[in-house]
Amino acid sequence: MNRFVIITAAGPDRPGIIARITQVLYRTGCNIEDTSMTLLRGEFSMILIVRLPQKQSLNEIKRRLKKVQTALGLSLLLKPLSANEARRDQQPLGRSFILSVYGADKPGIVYGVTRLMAAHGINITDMNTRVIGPRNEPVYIMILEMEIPKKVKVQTIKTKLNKLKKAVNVDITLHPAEPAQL
Amino acid sequence: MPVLKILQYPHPLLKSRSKQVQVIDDRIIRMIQNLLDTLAASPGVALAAPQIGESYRLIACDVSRKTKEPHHGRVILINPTIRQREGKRIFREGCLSVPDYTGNVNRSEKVWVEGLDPQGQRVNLISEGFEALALQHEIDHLDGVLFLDRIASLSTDLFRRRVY
Repeated sequence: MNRFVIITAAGPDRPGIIARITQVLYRTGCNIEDTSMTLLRGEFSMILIVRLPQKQSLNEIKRRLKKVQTALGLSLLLKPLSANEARRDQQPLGRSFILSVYGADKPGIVYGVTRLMAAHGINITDMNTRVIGPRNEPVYIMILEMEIPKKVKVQTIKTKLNKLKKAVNVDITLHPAEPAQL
Repeated sequence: MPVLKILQYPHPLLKSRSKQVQVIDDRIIRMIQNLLDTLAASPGVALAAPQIGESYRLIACDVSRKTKEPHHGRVILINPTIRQREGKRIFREGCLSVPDYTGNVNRSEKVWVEGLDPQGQRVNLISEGFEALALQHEIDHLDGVLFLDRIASLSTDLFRRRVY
């Protein structure tokens, strides 16, 4: 049976972080599956789902990754996944929507929005936020992709977002994610 | 020739609907010149009047320095509207009024745009590709719509699962 682990790592950005990690994975016979990696400010952050080889011990992989971790000053976490969690054909919980929220930076924007989604069983599948603009007038941008279950009325969510928009004084747009069918 | 400051979000004009130009008077002609001068001094290819603090339906666009695709050179349009659209294309967009952020936006590949030129003559343009994108982006500014309101997907969209 296939065994999978999820590795999350982050550390000060420099050339070679991915190469050092994937060198260990390659040499121990691991197969890299889905990954997401990005540079946040000066910190390079990575998440990898990795399929383990049949015979390799997890401890040996951990031991070798530890060395890289120390050398590069990374934080690193390795967690086994169940076969179900590692399945590629995950069923979406609903229709995909994009929510854009932006406004003057202040505490509570992310919480205000995500609390509303959580209360309706809406699943956030991707999110990115940035602080932009001048130092004296920073603007917060938050874009997220989410799955709205069929039983939830989109109009209800829009109405509640409108209230939130006024309360938190941000601009909010919700629209269906329409992938270009090319 | 004044180069004006390009307003940045959260300036309220950027989220407001701009007024129709009723008469092309000296004030509007000056506004057009300011728009062109500010555009020329900026790193962008197009600008809408609200971005320089004038809440009027007026845009300027010149994509010649950024694309090899066919285009109309310098375009100035008063009260522009999109009459027809064709095709879809995702562009990665940025905006001078929203610094330091870009996003994937759904746009039409081809647009039929109608408006007035600075002499008040009716203009009809059929625009495609990069110029069509610029015109759609600027006309959005006249309605208080930013590209942030039209993000099609985050960077991982290639792998996004779908409900059928």
